[in-house]
Amino acid sequence: MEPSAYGSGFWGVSAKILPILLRGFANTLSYYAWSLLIGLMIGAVLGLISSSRLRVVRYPIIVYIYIMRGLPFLIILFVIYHVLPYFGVTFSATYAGILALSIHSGAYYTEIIRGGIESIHTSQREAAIALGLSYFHRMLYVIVPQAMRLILPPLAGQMVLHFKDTAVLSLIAVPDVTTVGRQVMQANRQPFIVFGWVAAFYAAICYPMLKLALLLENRLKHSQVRS
Amino acid sequence: MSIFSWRVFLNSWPEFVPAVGLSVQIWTVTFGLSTVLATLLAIIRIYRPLILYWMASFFIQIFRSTPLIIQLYFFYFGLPHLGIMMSEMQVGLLAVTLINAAFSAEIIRVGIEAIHRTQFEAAYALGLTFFDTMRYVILPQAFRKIIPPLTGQVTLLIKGTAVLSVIALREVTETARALAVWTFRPLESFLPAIIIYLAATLPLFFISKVLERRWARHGA
Repeated sequence: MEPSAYGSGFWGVSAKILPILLRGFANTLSYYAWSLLIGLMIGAVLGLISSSRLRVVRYPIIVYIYIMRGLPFLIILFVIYHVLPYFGVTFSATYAGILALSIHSGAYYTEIIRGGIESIHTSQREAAIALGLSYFHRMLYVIVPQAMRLILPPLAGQMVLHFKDTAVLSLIAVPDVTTVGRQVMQANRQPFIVFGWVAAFYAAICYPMLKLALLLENRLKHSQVRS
Repeated sequence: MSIFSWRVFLNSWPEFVPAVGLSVQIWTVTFGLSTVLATLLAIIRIYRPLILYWMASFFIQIFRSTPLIIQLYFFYFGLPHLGIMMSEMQVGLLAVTLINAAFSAEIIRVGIEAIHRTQFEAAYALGLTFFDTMRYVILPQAFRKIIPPLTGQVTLLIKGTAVLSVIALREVTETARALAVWTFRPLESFLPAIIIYLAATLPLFFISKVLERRWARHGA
């Protein structure tokens, strides 16, 4: 191919690569959305269970949390994608990626939600019991609304780290924006323009979320009522 | 073929010896360099010298909101275009140091801001220079306060370095991946890596938890 096929000048090159990169970015967003949904569900369910007094289920959850927090995300991804097929469990790269993202960030979400719920003073729980509220109503109307203010700032921070972890999926060759960016760069040899745009895509999501996390944190710090 | 081969598992450990050496070297060097850089950034963010403040804030935001892989690619493929030739190790150390500094800077800033004003005033009254105030009065107290979050950041640093296998650095993860390809025994190849990472990170969790609990009781 002629070099001109890749465009010339910053805007010329950008015009050629942006449609391709955007398609990759759409994939990144979809991996993120699915794994966020599953991860938050894991976090909510396990967080509620481990903040309860059921010791039998508490310890397996703690083991899960420490293993996920202790291992690099890449290792978890490789284990799901390369080791599990050896035991007859095979996932496509996309599903392996979403699963790995979900269970990795799910552990962090569990820890954050558990911490938030446990930091609500026990008198709140006792008062709710005295009022005759069931476990479900107690959580829904008394504990969780109060815990939410403590949970949201670290949750937003963790969601940013989770989003950035999607880039690691490029190591099992899913067509996310990092993989696409690398392929485009290998064709047109313009690392600054290509990865500049890829970085801009990530920052466009992460920067507002980081600002939001900071805002929530400041609001929590300045609020009068602290549990 | 059996499900688990002890022979392959035990034979894979010697392959990890140089990898552990390299990984530990990366962790310690980047932790040291990034803590120094992060302290500078934190002081700049607090005292707000005009242009430096904007530069530091821009640097921190950029590195916090982009993935390490993209930063690695940027340096790895980009720097040769500028005529700067660096080895994989140097690129890896540079990228990990910068991203970790961006995260640590915010932790250290919070630590310094938590020091009471009277400490600064007392140091000023004693005629200490700015550098001495920081060195002998403020930073020792600030770092004591932030050991728990800073330890958490170190575990993220350790976890993050696994990504260095994209630039073919033979650290622990890359060694496990290569072994899995050679031996066709992925479980026996990845298990040592899993054990090594847990041996590095789990003690850090417990240390930070113990310290946090002790200081919650006695006050920092």
